Amino acid sequence: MNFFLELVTAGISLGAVYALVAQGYNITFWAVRVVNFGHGSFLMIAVMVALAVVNAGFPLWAAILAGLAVSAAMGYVLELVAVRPLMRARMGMGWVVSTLGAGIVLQAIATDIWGTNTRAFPAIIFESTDYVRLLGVQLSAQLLLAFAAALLVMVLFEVGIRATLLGKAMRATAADPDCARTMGINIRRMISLAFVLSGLLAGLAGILIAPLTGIDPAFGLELMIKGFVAAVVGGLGSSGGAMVGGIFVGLLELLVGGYVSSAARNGVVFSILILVLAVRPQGLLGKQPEIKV
Amino acid sequence: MKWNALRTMAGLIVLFAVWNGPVLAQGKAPAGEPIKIGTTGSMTGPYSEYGTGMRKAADLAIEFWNARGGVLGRPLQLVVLDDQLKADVAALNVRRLIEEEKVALILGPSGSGPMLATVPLTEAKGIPQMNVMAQTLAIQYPKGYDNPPRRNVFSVAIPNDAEAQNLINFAWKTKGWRRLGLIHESTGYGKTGADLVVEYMEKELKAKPVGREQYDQKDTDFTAQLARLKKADAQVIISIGLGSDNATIRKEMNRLGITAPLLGSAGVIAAQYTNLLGDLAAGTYGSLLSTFVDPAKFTPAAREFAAGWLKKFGNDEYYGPDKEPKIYLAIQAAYFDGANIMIDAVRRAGSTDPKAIIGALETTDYQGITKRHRFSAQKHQSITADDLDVLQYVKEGGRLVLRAPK
Repeated sequence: MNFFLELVTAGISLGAVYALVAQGYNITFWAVRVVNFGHGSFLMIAVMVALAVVNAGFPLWAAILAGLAVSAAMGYVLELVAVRPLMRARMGMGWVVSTLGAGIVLQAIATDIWGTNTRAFPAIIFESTDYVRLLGVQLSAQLLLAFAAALLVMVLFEVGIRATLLGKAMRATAADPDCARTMGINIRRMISLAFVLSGLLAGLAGILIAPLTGIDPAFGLELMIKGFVAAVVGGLGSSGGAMVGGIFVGLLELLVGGYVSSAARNGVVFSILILVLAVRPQGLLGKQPEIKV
Repeated sequence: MKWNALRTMAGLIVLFAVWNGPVLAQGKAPAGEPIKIGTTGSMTGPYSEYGTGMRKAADLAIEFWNARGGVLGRPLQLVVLDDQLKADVAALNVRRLIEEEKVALILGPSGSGPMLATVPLTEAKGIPQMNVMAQTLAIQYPKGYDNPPRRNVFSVAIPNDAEAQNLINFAWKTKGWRRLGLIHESTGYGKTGADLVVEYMEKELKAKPVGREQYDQKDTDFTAQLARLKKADAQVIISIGLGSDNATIRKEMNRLGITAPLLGSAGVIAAQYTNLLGDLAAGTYGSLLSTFVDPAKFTPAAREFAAGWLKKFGNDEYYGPDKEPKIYLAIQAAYFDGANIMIDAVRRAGSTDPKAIIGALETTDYQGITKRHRFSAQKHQSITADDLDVLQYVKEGGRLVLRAPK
């Protein structure tokens, strides 16, 4: 029972972080049908900046805010430099390459500034030795914090999108940009906002994972891929899908790794991706795209 | 006309005398086309401490030789390329070293993956190659000990089987543990290291580990693997992997509340391990060369090497902050030995012809820092389990140091 609960805690916590990454993909896809293939570097830049600020002597909370601010700003820059020019020129899928390239450039800049050595990120509130007792089982406090934080952010995002005027404007932009424009909504600002939020979510996901493992400029690559799998499995563009997809991938990875074999887990996760796409291409919670002729 | 020619001749003679005079007078400075030693290793990247250490040790060795007239009167030159411990990049680098730089000797690369990717090429070209860091046996002995080794590859590195014996002897005989858990990285180094541990246990102790798990380098999560070992009630977790991954494993062990200690291969005796864990590293055991374990037992050669390192590089991350060198300066000593053995072989061969150098390497009897290295036509590797120790990280006076465990 112990063993099972350990796997489930880790699976759900990791899954919630994958969900955050997936949501980052979702926002931009939903707003302009663009997926940021350099997302991993945004995860990374937030933690590298945060670490630099901590090492400069500032408190951890200030460092985290600084890191998030930088990754959000990078989202804005990405849209301006790598997405808008290509959308304007109606270059089809050119943004795939440009966002990927932006990610590589960001990684190279980080490597230039900080070198490639792996560094330790300070523990946020809880150390790796802190735990909570639940049903007689010792569960890591760090993992539970990651889960709680990710869940909170997703809920806040959903509430914001539905209840605030800005949220409504974003939904209008996503549903029908031309109509939204005639209603007086500043489309350009909405799209920028989408990318800023995407960068923010990426940064947050990175900061939640960073204390668990070491960080370096290549950090974020594995999270980026698993987050993408989560987004696609849950349904690209669907918030609920991101959460379901993320937790599904996280749980699957841990349970397969625990009960079958640690070598098999990545293979199984990607096989499930293929299976879901074959049976239900729009993802578990995604909507079948309607094309008006 | 004749007068002009005479003047030009005189001028040339004077020029020649002035140019070469100092050299001719000294008679010792190496001159002529340099003999190139090529090396490729992880100079940058998460495993950069292995490659950078190799480069520094090679620099030190070459400086020593060049100060004493070089080899065959010619200076030595190190050509360094970076592969970040990536096998495909290492293979490209070696190709460049052989074909463009025309090196006479190859040192490294660091790591089994890159080594295995490069030995077919060096073997085909017959260029002598010294393995200084990679532990997989197939590098020197592709068909096992019962068959001849690769003619051009020699090793001063710790072989996986010697290390496996060292680890198991410590766990089973010294500590009396019976439920041994095993975790390893999915590379050649990790897999063969784990295979040998299992083989040694079955052959010598008629026992099996209670669990065998694997991970990919730079994985972010180890919960599944460690939870399985915890479920199997392992008394110790033996890890075949590198510093930064072992640090993540150690943290995960904490999160799962695993009280069994971590016993690592040489990869855990790394600056990265303590950099990433700080005090959490205390209690971890690791296997390493015994060269610098006890200051009272340092050989004169070891002392001289340490002094030379301190003088050239200062208290860097390999030497450490104290007067006495850190225990894992022994790794750099192994690199130093490797470079010296190759250069000495060129001297004994009397030429840079690869076949001659290989012939000389096969008659090596060289008193190095880590041990007295002897090679022969059949014996292309030097380190055995007797040269290894198991050490433990302990907190002493507010700092983390390596000590022989009680």
